[in-house]
Amino acid sequence: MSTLLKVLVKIMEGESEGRRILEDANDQTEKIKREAQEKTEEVYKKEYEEAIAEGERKSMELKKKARENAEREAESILRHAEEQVKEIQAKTRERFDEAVNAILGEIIS
Amino acid sequence: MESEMHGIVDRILYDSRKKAKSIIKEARKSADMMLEKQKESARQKAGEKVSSMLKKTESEVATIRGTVFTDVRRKASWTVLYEKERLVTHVLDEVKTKLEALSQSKKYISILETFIVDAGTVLGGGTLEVLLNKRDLTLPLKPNVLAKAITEKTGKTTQLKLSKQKIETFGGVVVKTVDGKIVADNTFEAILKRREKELRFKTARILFRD
Repeated sequence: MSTLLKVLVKIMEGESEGRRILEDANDQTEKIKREAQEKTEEVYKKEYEEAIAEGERKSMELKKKARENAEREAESILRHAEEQVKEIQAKTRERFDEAVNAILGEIIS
Repeated sequence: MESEMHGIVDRILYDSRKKAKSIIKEARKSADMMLEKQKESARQKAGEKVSSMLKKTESEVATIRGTVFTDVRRKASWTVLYEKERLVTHVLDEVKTKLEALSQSKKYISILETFIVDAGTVLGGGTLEVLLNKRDLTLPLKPNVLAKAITEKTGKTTQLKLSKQKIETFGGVVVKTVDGKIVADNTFEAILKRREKELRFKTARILFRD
């Protein structure tokens, strides 16, 4: 075999190897695309569910805070009622005998 | 010549590997973009739902506040009302205690006589049976005098018969027509029960007036 021919054969072999490398790359590309395609639904679902869960957590937190704030604010109403009860008790202590005698009078008169 | 040949082959392989790397890199980039786009789409879709959820939450928060305040106001009203009821009941319990004491005092006989006359008058006079408890049967009552008082009030001749039947009461009297068809119960218990609403109201008016 002449030297020139040998050179041509080597170059052709090199080209063939180059094509094989590119074919492998194309195969890998197809695989990457296919895998990504397969993942899309799962990725969508996971992302969607996480965002909804976060929204629900926020909603629960808002409601919990609203209840706590309202209960704290409403405490003054209960305190006022307790003060009212004490005032009533103080007044009725003075009027207790008057009431008993009046009712007694109603029954026996 | 051989080294030139190697150079050419190496170049061919170098270019091929470089291109292959670039192709794969591009494919990965494209896949990542596709997945990122999916994520973005999911976030957007979920965002719409979350936004509507939070809008609903705003209205629920207002309802929660309203409910808490309504419950607390109701509880506060009940606290005051319960205490008032308790104090009125306390007065009526004391009245009952005093009536029990009164039933063993000297004043009691005149009260009992008044009760008998009132009951006889309510029944319209006539022949009436008077029922007392064991203790009161021993009291020096004057049935004829009481019958006369009833006769004067009703205009109908009245006769009172003391029954041998004893009633269970801490004071007061039961008077009935001889046929037992009409009964006037003037025992303390019956009076307290019959007039409970009115007495509670009167007690409250005294205790809680301004």
